[in-house]
Amino acid sequence: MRLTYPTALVLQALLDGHHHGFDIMDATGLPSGTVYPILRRLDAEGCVRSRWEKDGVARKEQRPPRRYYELTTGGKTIALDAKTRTQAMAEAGKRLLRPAESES
Amino acid sequence: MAHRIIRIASWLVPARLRRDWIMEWEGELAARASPLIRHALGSFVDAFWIRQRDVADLRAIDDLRHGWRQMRQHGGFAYTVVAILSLSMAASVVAFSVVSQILERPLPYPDADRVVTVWERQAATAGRNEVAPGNFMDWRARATSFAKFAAGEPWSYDYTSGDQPEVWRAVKVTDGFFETFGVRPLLGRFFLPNEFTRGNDQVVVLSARLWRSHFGADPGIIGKSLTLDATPHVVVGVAPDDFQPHLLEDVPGGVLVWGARFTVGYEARSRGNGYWQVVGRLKDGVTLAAAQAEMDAIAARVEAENPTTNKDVRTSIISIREHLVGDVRPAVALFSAAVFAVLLIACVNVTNLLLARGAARQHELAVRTALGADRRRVVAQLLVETLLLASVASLAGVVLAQAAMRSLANWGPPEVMWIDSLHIDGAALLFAALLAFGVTVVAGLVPALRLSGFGLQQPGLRTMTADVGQRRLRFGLVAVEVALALILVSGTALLLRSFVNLLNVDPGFRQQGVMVLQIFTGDRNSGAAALRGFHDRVTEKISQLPGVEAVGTARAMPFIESNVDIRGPVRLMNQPPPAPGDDMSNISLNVVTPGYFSVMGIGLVGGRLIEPRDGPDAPPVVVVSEAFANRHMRGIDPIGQRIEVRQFNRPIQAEIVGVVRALRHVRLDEAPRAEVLLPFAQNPVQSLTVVARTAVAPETLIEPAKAAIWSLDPLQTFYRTATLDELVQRTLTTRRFALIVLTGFAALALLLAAAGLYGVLSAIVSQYRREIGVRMALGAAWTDILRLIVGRGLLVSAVGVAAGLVAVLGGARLLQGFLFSVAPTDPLAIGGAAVLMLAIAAIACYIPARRAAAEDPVQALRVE
Repeated sequence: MRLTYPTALVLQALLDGHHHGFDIMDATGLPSGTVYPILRRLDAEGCVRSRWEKDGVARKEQRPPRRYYELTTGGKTIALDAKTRTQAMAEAGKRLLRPAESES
Repeated sequence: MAHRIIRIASWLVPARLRRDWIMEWEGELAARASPLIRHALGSFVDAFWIRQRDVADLRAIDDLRHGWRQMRQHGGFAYTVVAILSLSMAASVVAFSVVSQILERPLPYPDADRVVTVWERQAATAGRNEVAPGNFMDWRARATSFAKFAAGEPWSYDYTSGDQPEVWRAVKVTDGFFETFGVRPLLGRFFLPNEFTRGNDQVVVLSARLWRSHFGADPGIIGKSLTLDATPHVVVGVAPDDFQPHLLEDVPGGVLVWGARFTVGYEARSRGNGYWQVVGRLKDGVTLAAAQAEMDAIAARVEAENPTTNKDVRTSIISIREHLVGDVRPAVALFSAAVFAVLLIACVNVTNLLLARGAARQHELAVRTALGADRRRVVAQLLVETLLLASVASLAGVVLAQAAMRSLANWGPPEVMWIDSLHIDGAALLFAALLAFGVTVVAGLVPALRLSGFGLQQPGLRTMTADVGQRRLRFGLVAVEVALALILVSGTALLLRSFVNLLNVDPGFRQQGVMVLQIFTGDRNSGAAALRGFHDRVTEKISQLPGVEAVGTARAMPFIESNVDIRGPVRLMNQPPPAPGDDMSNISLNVVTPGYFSVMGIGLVGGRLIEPRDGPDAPPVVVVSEAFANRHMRGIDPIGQRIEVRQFNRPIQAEIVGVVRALRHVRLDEAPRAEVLLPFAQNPVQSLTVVARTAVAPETLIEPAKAAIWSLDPLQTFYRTATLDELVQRTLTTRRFALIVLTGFAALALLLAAAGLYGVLSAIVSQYRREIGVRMALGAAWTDILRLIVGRGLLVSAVGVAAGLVAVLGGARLLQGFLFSVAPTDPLAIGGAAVLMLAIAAIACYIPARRAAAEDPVQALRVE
């Protein structure tokens, strides 16, 4: 699977409990035009599963139902894996940047 | 606003997913207190993404990107395909433009399909003969099919108020002429009914071209008086720019002036000689066939009333469009067929190239299939790649076509109407685009289907069995190419033989080194004595020009556009009346001077020529052409016979003193003319063509000759000046043009077929290097290898040639109309074409075969 940086962010957001498209956008800071295609791709690859909100919830709040995304078991593994990898990368990046920062 | 954006973006989403998709986005937007437009705009990206995954159209963009990369990576292949296709596509675009801009050109007349031309014709012929005034008047009085019916008489006005005396080509028209076409004047008006009466007819309508070239487009021209033919004429109007009815095929540069023609009494009885051109506008609801039926009946009644003059005179009604472009239609059909053949050959060639290239791409395609691309996806990808190549070729073709059409204006056949206005228009662009799609399907579908068939079972493996079908297909395609090329080469060979035959036709005169001046001398020389005197002075002046060897004069000048062919009934006085079927009622009567024979080099068959002693007071004599003697005096010795000819209804009785070689008068491919030649001195006429044999290039003497005649009469105009060779060559332009074009196509076809053969054999040779190596290692001589490969190539070519021959012999009759003295199945031309085809094929086979045979067997075995 192609794991781009935005994909990793979306996976992270899902792991952190954000389940709606717009919530994921808020959590990651990515625009809707990036988040949605990623969700569709993850869906097609079996990493996430989507379902509609229970009618009752929406009716209680007097709004239309929202689509609800959650990680599958496989998706969770990939997300956790991605998290470790991005963290490792972030560490490596920090180590690389530090000498440069001290020089300036 | 945000909701509207969602609605618009949703159009991109495939219908089966659309409802859910909209709900999802609406749901998210609704969950926000203030939905951001920026968020909503992202829905477009989402919708695009979904479409790209689900619908083929956006996937094609991907294929296009892939194709573009392929094209850039394999530049040589792409250039070859584009080069092969662009030439034939350019030819196709030109052919299409000729059809749409010439054959189907909208005419500038309202309801142009109701405008017709009406002609006389002899029974059992399909000719378009000009109409005698008497017949026109009868037709107009009796026909009910026409809303308008009018005639024009070819005319010319001498205009002597400019820098030099000029001849303005004109048509004198009867009442209703402009109304028949339904055009409006650009300026002023057309003629009024009372202007078609004696004394009131000194009025003219100028063409827009003349108005611009001579009068600076001055609107004040209306009402001004011009001196034409030494008489003042009032300009009443200017005709619109596009009003050129082109009735007169012999007017170079078009009609400059229209005059008013009133009819006089005797013309009602003038029926023998047709010199009017008749047009009509069909009444609403009257079909051309119905009008023709009515005219047939009228012609039959007129014939019954005038049995001598109108024997076998029929009519033909031809729509104005057919009159203008009908003659070109068969040539365009031939041209289009040749273009189509070349295009087909090019497509086959590209198919072959794609197959060859596909063989090299088997690996890539197998991998794609392995990765889950279904067959349709692979076919689509391959077709998009071909489409990309075809589109580039089509674009290049449009550019080439534009250049070709520009050069057609200069060296194309001038008698093809509007040939100088051909250009790339919207329709041509659309055609070029469609052509790209058509070529993609024709050339690309078979390779795409075949190549997409390589599955996982043979992931790009080079097995012998996988190639058999492919090799057969490629050989089959080469055979098709050879067959098509043979058809083109045979056709060209037939045209070439016709052209050579035509050039070898003896026109009956020597055409080199003759200067021609056509003049009308009646205006200031009325009466026999004045005409004779002026003629003698002109002859003397021209003879004195340095470089002139001999001077003569004729009324009917061979090959000049306006061949003044006056005809009349002829009777042999001391012979029984002619047998039925021997029609002597309409014989060409020429008037010539003794010098005419020597200038033109006309051979004497028997008796003597017209000589200076045949003066006005000497006994009347005539000379007849050999064709006349053979057709009308079979079994009679013409010399010494008495003959009566009627010219303009005036009888002339004379003795036949000689028989001369018959001349071809209009075209080399028509029969020599049967004519009676009268001495000018005994029958002076106003229409003269002076011919001079020159020791120097004849065109250099034209201006001195004009100056010499102006020294006699400064107002004399020249209707046409030329060299005789130029006049003869003019009649060959169309055939020469057809020959050049077809030769080009045939050469291209030969080249493409040879390239196809070469390509397939090369591919096979490299595929079979191993086998060849084994054979050679086992002791095969290199000649054996050569024979094997050349033999296989020639076998395929022979199959193609055989198929081509069947097609040529079957379709040869279609060429009949373009041939001259050559049977459409001429064995020399067709056999020669077959031999040439096979020879070229042999060369194309020899090169790869030679390479294979020269191979070191050790190297060959080491491959792979």
